[in-house]
Amino acid sequence: MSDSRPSHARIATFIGFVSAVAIALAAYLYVAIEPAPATSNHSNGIVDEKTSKALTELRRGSYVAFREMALGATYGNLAFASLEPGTPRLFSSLPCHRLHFSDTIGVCLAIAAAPAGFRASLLDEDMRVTQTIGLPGMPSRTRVSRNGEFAAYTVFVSGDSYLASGLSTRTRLLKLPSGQDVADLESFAVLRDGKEIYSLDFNFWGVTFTRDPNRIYATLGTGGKILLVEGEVAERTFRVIAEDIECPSLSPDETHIAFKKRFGSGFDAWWQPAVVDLATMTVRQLPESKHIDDQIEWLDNGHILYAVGHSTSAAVRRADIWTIAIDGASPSSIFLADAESPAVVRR
Amino acid sequence: MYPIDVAGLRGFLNRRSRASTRPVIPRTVWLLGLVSCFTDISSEMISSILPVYLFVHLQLSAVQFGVIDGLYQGVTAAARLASGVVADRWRQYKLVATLGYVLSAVCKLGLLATGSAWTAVAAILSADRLGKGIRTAPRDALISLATPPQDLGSAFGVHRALDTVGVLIGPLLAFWMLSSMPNRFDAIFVVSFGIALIGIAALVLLIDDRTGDVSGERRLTVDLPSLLRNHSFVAITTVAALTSFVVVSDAFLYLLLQWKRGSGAESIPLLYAGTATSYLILAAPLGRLADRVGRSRVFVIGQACMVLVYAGVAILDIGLWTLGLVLLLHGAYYAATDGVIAALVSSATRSEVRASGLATLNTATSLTRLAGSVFVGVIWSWRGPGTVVTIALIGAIATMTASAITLKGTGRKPIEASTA
Repeated sequence: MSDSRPSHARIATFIGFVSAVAIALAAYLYVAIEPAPATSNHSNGIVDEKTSKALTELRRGSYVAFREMALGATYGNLAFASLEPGTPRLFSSLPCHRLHFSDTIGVCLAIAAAPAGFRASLLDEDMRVTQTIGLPGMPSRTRVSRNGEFAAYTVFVSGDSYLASGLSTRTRLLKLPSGQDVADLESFAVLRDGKEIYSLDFNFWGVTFTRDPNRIYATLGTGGKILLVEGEVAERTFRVIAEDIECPSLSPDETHIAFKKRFGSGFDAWWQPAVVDLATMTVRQLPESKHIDDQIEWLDNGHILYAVGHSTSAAVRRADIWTIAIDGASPSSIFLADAESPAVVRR
Repeated sequence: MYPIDVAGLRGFLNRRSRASTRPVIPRTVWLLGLVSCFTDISSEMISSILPVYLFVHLQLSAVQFGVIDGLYQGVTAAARLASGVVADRWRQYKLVATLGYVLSAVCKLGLLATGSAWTAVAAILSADRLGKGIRTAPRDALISLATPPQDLGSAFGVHRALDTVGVLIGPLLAFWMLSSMPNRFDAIFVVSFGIALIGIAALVLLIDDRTGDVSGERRLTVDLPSLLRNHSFVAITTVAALTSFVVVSDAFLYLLLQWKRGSGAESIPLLYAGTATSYLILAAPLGRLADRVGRSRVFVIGQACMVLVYAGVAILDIGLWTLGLVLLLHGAYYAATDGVIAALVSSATRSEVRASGLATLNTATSLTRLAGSVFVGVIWSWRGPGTVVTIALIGAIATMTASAITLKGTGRKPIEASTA
């Protein structure tokens, strides 16, 4: 049995090597990572005092909240801008992957330090974090009802590899501002042509609220099919109203649903924005061929907003928010460069 | 049930304080534990954030994610076997293990360099797992060849405990980095690479692989048929493979717990941390117990822990305390089986085929684990989680009984022939 002590030279080499690696890593992190902006001086606040004043001014009119994607100290943080192009952005210190706002309350889904992993932060009217809720999976979608009474979030739960697709989603409704759990959509009964249907592989995602926060639309995925469902929260029921309409987003006047239309299949599937007229249920494909992932947002009754990723490197995600008219008459254009997860608050 | 040798256990406890009964944990084992600790910090940093990276960041579709996940879990089987045979053939345990560690480390940089094409990401992650497959058997062979046969359980216990320290630190570090530097996956890849380099440096510079008990000549052949004629080895490997088939994967157990808890409020990383903490604390003591009262007994005790876990999930309301108890028992299952089975195989195989034997064990258990996951998946989608619990409970009781009968006497006294 040989268990000789390593020579002093080798130990010294090892210590030297470890020090070199440590110094190199420290130098890399120092150069590559911008320092986080100084934290604000009032408790739970996410903006400093100067920004706070400008934000109050901005929020007197209509505005868009979004995830800042320009590389720099505020990359990945919640930010705000007016709907007028070219106005300066206001940055917060709160990292968000997905976010949504009504005029009185906001929800921000983000990655948190382990062990909780993922969290939802609830923001009040003064942009202070009032609640932090642990999430059971990775942030995917979130919506706040227009009157600020409810929020919905969807997370991916990995490790559910029993499903053919290798993932499942959890979608839950929260009461605001308390953050109390109202329902898991999987507890809702689902009716199709008047008959209740059920399968273990039911997955719900992408809630959109109507003006009556008790009535919602969502996506139900089951058996490889994508179904649009409309539901009553109080009665815990959904009705299937259409097929192949994924991740719905209801227009402010409640006449149209913008959604993600799937093309191709398997590995090569991609999604493009499309709109369905709720009166006739006719689907209009828009002149946009770029792939989208996140839920669509409405700028106004005639225009939608959606994020398009354009990373060239796998390590750093980049994206822009694009806009297009729903009449399909004009091509899309960039609404906000270096931004994603738009949430429009109209006044 | 397998009766615990009470007299032996008492004797063990009485003599515990005496220096003479202290197990000899060779420096090589501590250092290999250190290597594994750094390597696991590095690899768990990546695997803990991998779903976020693939899904939220690269925004892959569910099908693409499924393919990568499958590759990540299943790619290693063939590489494991080959690396064991090659290590035995040229007696180059350290060299083969180093190649595995280097391959995995390089892949961390590969993730940085690749574009966002999912096929490239899939290829790099497969190569990373290949590295893990290559290094495991030669590393365990190094541990077993450096350790006196009567202390193998303790040695593997110490190694697995250090290894689990890395498993605990890695995800904490990665999530801490992600939450303080949103979306800087590049920083995580670079730090992970740096930490992997430290592990490799410890292996290359500090560990001496001149195993004095083996003659210096190269072997021309590895006598693999002798492994298959070795009844103890075949029995141990069969029992281990059966156990891996029956014991549902961690992910499934946590899903069962979430299902039972209803709310799904505990995130899965927290449950992983619970199991790992229990494993970390119990690995060395149970390894030592295995050396004292018999390795097959402790292995069967581990299976009994798993029976209790399933019984708990089936019968109890899973509150906070019962959740803690279930995770404690789950960690105890790992502590009483993972290192102990490596010790059992090591003491049942001659040193010339040690790495091949360990590689065969690893290959068999990883294949049956994969098959078990597919099986559980089918049952879950077809009949629901309730049926999964019932089947798992019955399966665990059956395998525990089968192990108790098959392994009776095996590994109670180490086979002295192992030192040749």
